[in-house]
Amino acid sequence: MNDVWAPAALAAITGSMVALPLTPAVLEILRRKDAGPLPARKDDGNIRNFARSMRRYIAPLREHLAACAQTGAIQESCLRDGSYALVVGQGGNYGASEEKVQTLILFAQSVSLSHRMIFLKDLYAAGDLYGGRQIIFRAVLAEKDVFLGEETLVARWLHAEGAVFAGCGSTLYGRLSAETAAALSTGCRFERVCAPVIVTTANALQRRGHQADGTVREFPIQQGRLGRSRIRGDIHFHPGEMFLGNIIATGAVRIDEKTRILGSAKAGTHIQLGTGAEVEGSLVSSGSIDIGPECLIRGPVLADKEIVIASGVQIGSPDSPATVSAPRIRIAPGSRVYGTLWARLEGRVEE
Amino acid sequence: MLLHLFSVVVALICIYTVRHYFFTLNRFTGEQRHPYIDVDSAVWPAVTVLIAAHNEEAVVSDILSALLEVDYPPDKLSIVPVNDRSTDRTREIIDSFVEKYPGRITPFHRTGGKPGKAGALKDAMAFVQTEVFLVFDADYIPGKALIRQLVSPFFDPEVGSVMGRVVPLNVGRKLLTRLLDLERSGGYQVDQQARMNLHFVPQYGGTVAGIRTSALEEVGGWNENTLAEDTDLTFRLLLAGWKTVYENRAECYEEVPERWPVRVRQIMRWAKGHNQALTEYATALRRRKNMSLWERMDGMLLLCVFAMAPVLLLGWVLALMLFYLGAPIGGGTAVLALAAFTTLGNFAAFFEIAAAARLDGSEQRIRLLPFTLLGFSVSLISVSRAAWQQIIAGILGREMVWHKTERSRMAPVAAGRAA
Repeated sequence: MNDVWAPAALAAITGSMVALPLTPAVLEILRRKDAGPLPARKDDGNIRNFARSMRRYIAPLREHLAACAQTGAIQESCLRDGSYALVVGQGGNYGASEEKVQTLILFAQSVSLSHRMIFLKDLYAAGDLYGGRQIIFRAVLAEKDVFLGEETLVARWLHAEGAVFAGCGSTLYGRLSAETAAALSTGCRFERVCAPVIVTTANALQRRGHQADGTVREFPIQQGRLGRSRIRGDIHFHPGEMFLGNIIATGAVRIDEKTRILGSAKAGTHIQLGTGAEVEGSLVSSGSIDIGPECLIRGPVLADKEIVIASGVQIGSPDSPATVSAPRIRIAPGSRVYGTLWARLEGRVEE
Repeated sequence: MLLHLFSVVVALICIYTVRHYFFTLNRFTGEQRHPYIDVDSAVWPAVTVLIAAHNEEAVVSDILSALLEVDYPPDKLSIVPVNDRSTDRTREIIDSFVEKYPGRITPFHRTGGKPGKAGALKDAMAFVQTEVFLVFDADYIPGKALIRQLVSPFFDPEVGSVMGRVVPLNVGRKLLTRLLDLERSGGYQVDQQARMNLHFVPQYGGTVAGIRTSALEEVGGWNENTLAEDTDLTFRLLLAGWKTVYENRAECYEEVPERWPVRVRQIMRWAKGHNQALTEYATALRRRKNMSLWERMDGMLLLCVFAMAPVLLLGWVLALMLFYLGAPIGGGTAVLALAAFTTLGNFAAFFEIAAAARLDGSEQRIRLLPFTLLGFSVSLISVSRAAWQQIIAGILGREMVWHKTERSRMAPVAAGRAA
């Protein structure tokens, strides 16, 4: 008997031990619980997508909003998903009875908000929005201009169909976009900012204008392909030199004051631009980029570590938008970027 | 003699093991580089999209529809389907799109010339008037932001080519497609991105990819005499001082083979093409001084990757021979340890796949990991067979033949489905 059962038992036990680790795999093949394609990115990455989504969300309240604007009433309204929104028809000063506003709030006219309010849900303003000091917003969509008081915090995103003026010490997490301009004051912290023109200034609320000092400088556009020079090690352009072509250095690139690069520059470690240097193409560094005062750069500025921008710098132009992107960006007041400022970890406006 | 050879084999396996673990750990603990992904505002350059299509009636309409919807200035986007000697309805389908969208699509109906993708792309260069062009295979389905994602690295003057990530679409069809999905995850999510992080040599993959026209011209254009024009170009660009960039978030759906014979032919072609590149560029790579030591080392390991399959088989044979010849290799325990190690070839590769599944946020599919051994075994045999055929073809002076990968898609698909 043992002659039969012993080998059979051995085979069964061995088979079980072999099969055991394969059991989850076999079950997954049979049940096909995770057999779909991995989700690939479907959206176009537009910074305005959150704003568009909110506009669709509140679209059913459009007529109600218009009616409240005429009567000046404050009414609660119900959205399609069952959640409540507060529609405020009156313009002027708005101060809720409680410091915290717990519902989605829609202002039908231009409104001024009291200091230190906290909006736990999104906010919509059909007109201008004037914020007091130290307000906390979750997300804001405004049809005109937005003025953020000192030390305001925006937790997720803000979009203005007009301009955005951020007071000193404001913190702008997530996305900030404006259709005409964005002005950031000293001490502002930001992540992703996109506007036709982004200016940094000592106090955006005092100026209430979005033109930084100085006039817009235009670029001489080079036509045709540019050659490239690849250097092992560092390269140094002396003051007043002009270089036609793309320059690539495995080490550092140093471009002294008033030097013009009619092409792009790439460094393996660090790029340093002296006062008034001009780059007609892009600046790319595997390390950091230090842009001196009054520099003019036409193309994207990209760094793996940090970008420091001094005062009076212009990046991009009204006709050629550009992106400034790095994990950390420090930008001095008095500079101007046409396009996008994108700090993946932290951006700061500081002297 | 045999013992020394065996030691060399073991050393090579150990090098690749370390490489796999190094890359995988880099993806978990290292700094992740995506330097171009945030380029949002820019003066976008004019770009030409070449779609390589040889008998692609099942899939070509999907890619044309998707390209017409992408978020890129239409006046700067030129779409050129390269209909390479198709005998099915590919031409008819392309022409119907040309008629429906006048001015958007410029077809190139190739009726002669050297067979193969490289030959077709070489002839299609007459249609490329832009400094940047992208290459897609006809079974790919680009997302809305993909063109911008693939073009943005070209603002870096050092970048000669760009490679996006390929994501299998027909995952759930067969066991094979599920295994290939895991394999692709490992290759892109870990291997390619780690190389990007470490400033090594990401590989231009021939599709979902972009090339700087002046860089291609500088290295002599497309090489018609290779079975893997992508690997060939990666190394020619590298040797000329151009960088290849990998964009992990530039994802694009593709169709993977659904039948084992198709998969075997595909991987044999890759292996032969890769080995061609090995013989042509290994010496130059070793001697070239215009790149870092790390780049040269990684490039060499990348060149040799398909040569490792026959080396591994040789290792098994040697282990058995040495055992039965009674060679003093450290006794039975050492033989067992070596056999266990080499039987699975290299656990690190499986660790890499598991890590990739984790990074992709996959939940249940990681359970299929034990079955990747099946795919690995088939690849091992196929790649070794390809190497053997290549040696014989070299001796007999035979020309190698390019085989198109067979498509299985029967109807247009909805791209972007969630898993």
